[in-house]
Amino acid sequence: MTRPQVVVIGSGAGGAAFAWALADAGVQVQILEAGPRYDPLKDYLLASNGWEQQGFPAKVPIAGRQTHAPLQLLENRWADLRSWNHLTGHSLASDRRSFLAYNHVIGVGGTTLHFTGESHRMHPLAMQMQSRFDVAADWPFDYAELEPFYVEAERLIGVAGPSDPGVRTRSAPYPLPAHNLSYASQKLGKGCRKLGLSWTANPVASLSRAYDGRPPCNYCGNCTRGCPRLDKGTADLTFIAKALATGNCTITTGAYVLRLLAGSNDRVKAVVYGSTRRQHRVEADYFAVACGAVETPRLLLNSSPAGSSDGLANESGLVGRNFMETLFWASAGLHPEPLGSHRGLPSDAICWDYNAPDAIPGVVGGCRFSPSTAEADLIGPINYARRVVGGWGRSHKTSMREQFGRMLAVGGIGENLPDERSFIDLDPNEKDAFDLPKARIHSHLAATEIERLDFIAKTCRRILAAAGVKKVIEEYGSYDAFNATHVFGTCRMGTEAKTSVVDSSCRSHRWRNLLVTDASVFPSSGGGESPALTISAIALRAARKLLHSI
Amino acid sequence: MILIMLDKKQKRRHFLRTLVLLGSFLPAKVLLALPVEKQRQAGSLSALPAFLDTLIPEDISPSASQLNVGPDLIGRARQESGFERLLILGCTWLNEQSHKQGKQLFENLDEAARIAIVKTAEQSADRSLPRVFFKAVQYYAFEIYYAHPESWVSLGYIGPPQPVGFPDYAEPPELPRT
Repeated sequence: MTRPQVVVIGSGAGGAAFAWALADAGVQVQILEAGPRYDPLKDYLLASNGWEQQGFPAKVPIAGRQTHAPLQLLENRWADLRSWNHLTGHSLASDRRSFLAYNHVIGVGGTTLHFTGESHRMHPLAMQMQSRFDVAADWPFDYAELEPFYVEAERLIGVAGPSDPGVRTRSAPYPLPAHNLSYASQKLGKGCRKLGLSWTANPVASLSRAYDGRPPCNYCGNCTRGCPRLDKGTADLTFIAKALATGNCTITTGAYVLRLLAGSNDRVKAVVYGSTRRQHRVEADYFAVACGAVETPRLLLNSSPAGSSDGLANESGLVGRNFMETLFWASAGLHPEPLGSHRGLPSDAICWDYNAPDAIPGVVGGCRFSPSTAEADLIGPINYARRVVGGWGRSHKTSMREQFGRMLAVGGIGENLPDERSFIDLDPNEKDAFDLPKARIHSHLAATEIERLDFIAKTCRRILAAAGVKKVIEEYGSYDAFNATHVFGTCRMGTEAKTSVVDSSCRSHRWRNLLVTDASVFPSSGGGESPALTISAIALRAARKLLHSI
Repeated sequence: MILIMLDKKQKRRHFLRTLVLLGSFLPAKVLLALPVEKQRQAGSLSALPAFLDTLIPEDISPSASQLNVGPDLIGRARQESGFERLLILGCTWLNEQSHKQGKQLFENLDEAARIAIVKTAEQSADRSLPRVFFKAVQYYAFEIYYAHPESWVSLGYIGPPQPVGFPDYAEPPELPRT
């Protein structure tokens, strides 16, 4: 390929879906991916004895890629929301909220490589937060408009889900039947039913049957360490593979994009990326940025047009603003019966009962609950020894035998409403290897967010207790630590140029050949829905809209 | 959803902090002033296998020594000078305690005497040498020991997770044979 028509920056859920939709329609696409490819068979070591000793085998370290401003002081009244373990006490000793990580994967497929596969559609009302609840902003289109693209994304990824759609009406069934719940999830389900709560199969991008040349899941429980079986519908195995197969798409790995170059007539003319030895420039007709809600605003802010220092596409002043993070909680305890809880999908069930924006008493913004034993990494002997059993000597070994497989954890994720104190800007003091300012994360949890988190924590504890757990042994959440995977909002999508960065087609209001196709465009976070499927659906929609212009 | 991560840098910082704390203890102070090679000569790790076997003794499953935890631990410590110094100091402390009981070396004590000394280490003040040594060795010994499939059998854990997975995931677990 000589000169691409479209350059896509980033190959995660948004960039990959966008690239596929264009390439499939005959458009020449070049993807620039900062990280490397992952080879599932070589890189994901779940068949080795040392599998538990490493998490996702990141080839590009994430520590230090961003900086953060000081986080808020913690308050005694929320002492119940501190992270703790029964052997080690409080996990974080500081009286100030700690910065643990912005968890993302740099590589072909992006963060889908280590996601659990949750494939959620937005609650329809969670897309109308401003008009219905006077918070955040409305999405510029409704659920019905996005629904066909959800169907398409589910088909391309291979999503297994339940037949009952609930409030998320469907024009077609899931391509695959839901998975059976694990034995441990069945116990949580019994607990939910005792409390009058529902507990249904969670839609996931793990195959319940062979599909599209990939084998069905064998329930090893380690989706977050990377799937060597190739059944998990990561972006590299689905959208990227299909895009490359069209012959209309190329991907350049190790291409760390430094800046977008603004041209005349309000058009972006080129992108500059650095590799190990030199800088490269690529011109195209259209450019899509899909680096996630932290690095996308950073790239735009580092790409100021001549005569401006405000960044590119920042006429509204909102690039980097409205940053929303993952509001989460998990409680884990020891069940009196052997459960074999290391088996099964990490997040195979879900309680949507509090997902609507008005479902939590006294607080606007919803949440949801699901199993969290695998995500808490309580599925292997090493973590049992260190975090559950402790001790030493013969009593330690006896307790290991009694307790292994009995850990049961439930987690909740909730809406995170925008706050003027949460945003991304450029760090004036820290620069990367190319002498460009790093993204600096500002995060603040307002009282309403903490109240929602408190509700989530209390409900997690109730579910665990109702499921038969007598002793909680560990809890952690985002009150005392920033530890986000789902991030949103920093290039808000909307109809008005003054109050949003991109329009309903994800195109900059001014720079019409510039798009943003990741979770940066979310006007609201949703009530705990995992965002990957929505990101892909929005990207597919943006691509179809763009095809009218190409 | 969310992962709690403990990366290698965090572990390294932990041991660097530990080393600073140990600077105030004698004979730690004397030993720390020496290069690592000299420390290896001055101190000895001969107590380590017995210490590890006190933490993880043989019963229906193997002991730490039977699964070569000691050599693996030392190999790891040699990549991290702060950790190696901690092992040397800790083993020196174990032998000092065994001397007080009229014995020559920790590894020659009977099990009850070794247990008593390990309990002392475990119950020492938070930032004291014996406590830091105990916690660090326990932490890594568990990691190394429980990465061996031989340690999984009596737990009923049929791993690693792949290539077989857990096709029986929806059923009650089979209990391990004891």
